[in-house]
Amino acid sequence: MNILVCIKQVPDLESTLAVNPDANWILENDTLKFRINHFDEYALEEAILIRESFPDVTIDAVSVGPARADDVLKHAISVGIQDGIHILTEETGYLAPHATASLIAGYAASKSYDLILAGVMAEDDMLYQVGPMTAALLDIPCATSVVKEALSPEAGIVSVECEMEGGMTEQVELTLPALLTIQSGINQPRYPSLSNVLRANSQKRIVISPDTIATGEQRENVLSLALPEKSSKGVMLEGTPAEKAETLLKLFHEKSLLK
Amino acid sequence: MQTDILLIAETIENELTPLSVELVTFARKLFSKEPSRLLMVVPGQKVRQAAERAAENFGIPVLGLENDNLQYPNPPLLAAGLQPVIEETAPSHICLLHSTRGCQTATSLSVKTGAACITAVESIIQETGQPIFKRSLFNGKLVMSLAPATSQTVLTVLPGAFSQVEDEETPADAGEVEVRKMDIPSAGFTPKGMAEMEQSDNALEEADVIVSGGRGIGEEENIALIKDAAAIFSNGAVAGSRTIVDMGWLPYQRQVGETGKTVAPRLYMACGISGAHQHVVGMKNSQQIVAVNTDPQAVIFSVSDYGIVEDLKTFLPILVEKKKEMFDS
Repeated sequence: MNILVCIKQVPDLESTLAVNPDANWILENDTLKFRINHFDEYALEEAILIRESFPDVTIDAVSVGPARADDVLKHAISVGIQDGIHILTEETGYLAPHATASLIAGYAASKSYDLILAGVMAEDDMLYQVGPMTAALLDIPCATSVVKEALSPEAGIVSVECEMEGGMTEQVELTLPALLTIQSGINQPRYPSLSNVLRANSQKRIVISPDTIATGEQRENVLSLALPEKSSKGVMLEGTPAEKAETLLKLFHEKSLLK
Repeated sequence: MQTDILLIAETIENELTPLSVELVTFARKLFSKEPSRLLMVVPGQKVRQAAERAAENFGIPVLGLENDNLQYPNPPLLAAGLQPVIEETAPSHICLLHSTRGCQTATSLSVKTGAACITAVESIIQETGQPIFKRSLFNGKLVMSLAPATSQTVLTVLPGAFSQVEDEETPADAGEVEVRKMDIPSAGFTPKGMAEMEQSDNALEEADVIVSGGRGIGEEENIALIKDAAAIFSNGAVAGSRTIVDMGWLPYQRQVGETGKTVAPRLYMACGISGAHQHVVGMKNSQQIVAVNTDPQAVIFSVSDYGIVEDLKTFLPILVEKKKEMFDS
């Protein structure tokens, strides 16, 4: 069984973010840190758990991004993925979901993956599109926000539980090959192992130029990025921590909330 | 049946989900300056009743699409069934509720029709004729404005961003209703049923004060700081964001947010929580909100009444100590 995990490198959300001079993405300077999209870590781990449960499973990871995206492929290999495929883009800014999905689908169409996993969303653009769009382009069944999966490879199906709002889940059965977008909390992503880290450092990635894959016309125009309008709602407390604590406690006391 | 805006309602077991009404509010805002023709699609197994109720409540035409496999959400079947409707009605905008299912249907339609696909829309700007859509990035730290580059756009609408306006009048005339059977085979996707995740206690519903922790907690042992802070109140409870529950530091019944509980206590203290929409939607109706976070850019501060830029790991113990000093004799 061949599994592909789609992973994305995203800016560290804890970093201070500023809009670039063209106002079409964030400013990328030396202080901006990057890491793997949190949800993709769960997808990687789920693939590895499947490999531990079934015979003859190989797992590849693919990432669409500029040169620095190699770091997330390195991470994928260091937790146990076999091969890292880097669809190396020139641009460092925003790439529309249709373009990203076209690149991944274009690559995957030439292989025969039984299962494709992706994180449910990307922490940077929060669009939730690349996973299901890749499945639509490949014309394979897709389930989103998966919190539990059970593969039956001989029967050619995967049974999943999809999380819905308000504490409900939907049970769905899909035929293979299928694409699942993975929700956080499904498992506990493991740490890299020494042997895999060494392999990640020495093993070459498979690098693919995006020019070899058709992506079609742009469907949306990003007009601008901006800071959100400052809400007039709140007050930022000033002073030392002790002074701020006092202010709060007086407030709580006035409202008779304290014990 | 030419239409400007197609609204795709969501149903579970042939009942419209409550959020579906927000599609109508959204659509009315989309063309508030020009007359618009709306059509709502109600998918399900047997939808005549739900379709007629919707036509009456919203005063717009409704098309029911029936298929035995639409009893539970079925994005691929819905997308397949919508294609002929889209061809027939040629709408400029096709609107769904934002959820992972809505995005799945939307991306499917975008691939089939070539339409632009804009998800998680929070607001619409319309200075010139063309609407521009705004949505959040990076947990709300930045906002992106987008416009379609195509003549047709599929959108998903963020829950809570287009809540029904209170004084909207009930329409005088019910819209026309048509119900059609969809004769489309399922393609490799079979819903089997739905279930509730374990929810055993009402601690969060009954608390006056909820002290909630997020990623800023750092280590599992720091949950104790949240518990100590909750203990200074006469009716306090501990809760957490999804991140904390994912790591097993708190049980699922303490999760506040879109996929957890929605709470509205007298006071909600968000500690080390960035304020991503998925969490905020679960607590924004709290009577008072206090936020403690090291990141002055954190979006939580824009929904809080009081903001404290501090590390919860140092601030909460000071709060607990001060409380003893000031109020415990």
